[in-house]
Amino acid sequence: MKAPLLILLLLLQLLSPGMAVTVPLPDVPPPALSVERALAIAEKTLGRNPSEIMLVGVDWCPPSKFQPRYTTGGSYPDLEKKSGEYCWFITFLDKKADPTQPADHQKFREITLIRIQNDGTAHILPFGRD
Amino acid sequence: MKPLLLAVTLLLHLATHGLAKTRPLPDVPPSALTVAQVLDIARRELGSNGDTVILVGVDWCKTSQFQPRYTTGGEFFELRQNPDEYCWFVTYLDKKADPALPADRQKFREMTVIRIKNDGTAHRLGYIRT
Repeated sequence: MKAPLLILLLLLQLLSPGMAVTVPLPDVPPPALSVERALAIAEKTLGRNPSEIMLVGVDWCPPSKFQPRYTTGGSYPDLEKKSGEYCWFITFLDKKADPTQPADHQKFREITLIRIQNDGTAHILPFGRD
Repeated sequence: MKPLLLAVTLLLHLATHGLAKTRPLPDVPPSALTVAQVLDIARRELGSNGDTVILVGVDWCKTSQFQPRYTTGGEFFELRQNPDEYCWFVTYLDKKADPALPADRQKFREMTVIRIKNDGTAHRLGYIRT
């Protein structure tokens, strides 16, 4: 009785890796800009004091795949077009000054997204409240 | 009649703006590491595989919040551990050599995610095919 059970277990073990669902990765084109170059462009585009912002994300993907991991409930109309080439998306949290709070109590209140195209052109994605 | 219509329009405009769903951002702790340090650590962790990969993501977020934007159908099971801990996640696509293809036609076949904790310790996340 033991032998058939062992054979069954062995067969199951051999079969299961073959049955795993493997999704092929897309043909992701390599970026022309290094991540360091993209970050330098983003910081220059933003032109803010580093103490007022915090970098939380860098992504190389098409706009259709990109959604910021943090949200304040609004949306980025440019991302809804769902088309376009691969870009660098740089995500910052932003301490836009809250006049009701003292300087040392300012919190991150906004998200700023910068899209950098492969030719180095950059722009801040406009944000709309839903 | 006109002033009444104007007043209604104005009130509607004010109401819709007031009703906009705004969510406050979470209290994201600042990272002890700069992104440049994170990239250095990740490259060191990658070692000799560095020339077959492209970097596609750098994220500072809660472990429970992280999901790579690309998938091969499996799961990074270590993301279930310490779900509230903020870490850096550096994602690479990897051209693991496929002996059936010539060198110039190798494709990205795997994903490597390196988790870097705030104290600088780093390791590749374990991956299972589901």
